[in-house]
Amino acid sequence: MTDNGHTDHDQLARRLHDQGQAQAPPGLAGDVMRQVRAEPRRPQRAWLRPVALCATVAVLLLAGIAGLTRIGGSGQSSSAGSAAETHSAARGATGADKLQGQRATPDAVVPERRVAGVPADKLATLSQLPFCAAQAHSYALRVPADRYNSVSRQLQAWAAARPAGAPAYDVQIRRAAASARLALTCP
Amino acid sequence: MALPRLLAAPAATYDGRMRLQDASDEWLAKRAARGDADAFEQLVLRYQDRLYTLALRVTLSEPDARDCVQEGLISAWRAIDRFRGDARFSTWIYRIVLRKAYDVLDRRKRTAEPMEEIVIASGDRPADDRLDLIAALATLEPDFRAAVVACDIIGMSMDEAAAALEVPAGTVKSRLHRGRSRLAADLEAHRAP
Repeated sequence: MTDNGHTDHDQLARRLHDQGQAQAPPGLAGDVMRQVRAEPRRPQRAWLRPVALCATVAVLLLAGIAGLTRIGGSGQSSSAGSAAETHSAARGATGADKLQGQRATPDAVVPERRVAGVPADKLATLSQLPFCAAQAHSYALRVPADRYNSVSRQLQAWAAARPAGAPAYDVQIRRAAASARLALTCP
Repeated sequence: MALPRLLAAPAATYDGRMRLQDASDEWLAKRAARGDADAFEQLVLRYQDRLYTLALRVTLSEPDARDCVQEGLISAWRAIDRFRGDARFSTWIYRIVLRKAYDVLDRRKRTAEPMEEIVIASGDRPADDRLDLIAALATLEPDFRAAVVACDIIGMSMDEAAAALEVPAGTVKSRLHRGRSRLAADLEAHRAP
């Protein structure tokens, strides 16, 4: 833009400022204030916001603690269940009995199950036995969710019918997605 | 002793109105947020002319401008506890009234409401070139007109106008420049014969 253009614009701006002003109609402020006073504001409660924030944080904390407690409780019961199962498998209890017991408590979450004394030759029919140096007498068996119960029953039946002195392994059964492949891994 | 002297001061010398007049916009807005209608009244008195000018020059209609200002101020009163003070009070109130003015323009566009004539505010003197200037301003497109009114008539800074018009500062700058250029050309064309 040229200097002349700048000057034109500056002059125009000045003229607009000088000539463009208008005065509010005389009754405008009065009308507004009549309406304002007719609907008095609820005084702002400055303490309300921090109190609400504290209450929200407290509720969230309590919910978190409750959730953690519940998870801890489930974990304990799951461990207890596994131990009991191992014990009962050792005693030769049938797998069907235990499954009945689990069905009786629908809320129980059984993410994994342990079966002791599964014969090595039977186990090898499910999957190739990997070499696990650290845990020589146990394996983890990843089982698709839809086959979890049937495989569990099978392993328990094999464990119960194991001939004395036959090589055997403890198997930790882990529930996997339905699309997963059945596989033995190191625990 | 100082305290008894304060206590002994006659009540008549305490002029609350005087103190409100001296207060900053933001202080008054805080008081208003606590329900102090007198503080809000001070803001109304302080801004009514500027808000009316803004609405009038954008809507080009006295009744619409009056409604915009009235509704804008009532909305501001209802929402003043949401004014956090991180922007200037003036920017906040200008934005509210500008939204109302744009609502009027949108409604006109939708209903194809005819504008009979360019409105000249009460007190305008048509005898001089003031009429030409205001008439030329009225022929600008609303977005250009709003930028010119905000910056040149009301005197907002570029940033304040950007916040009030809810567009980037670059947009305001460009609209202002183009608006002024068209105004200058219009005025020149009127003078030519």
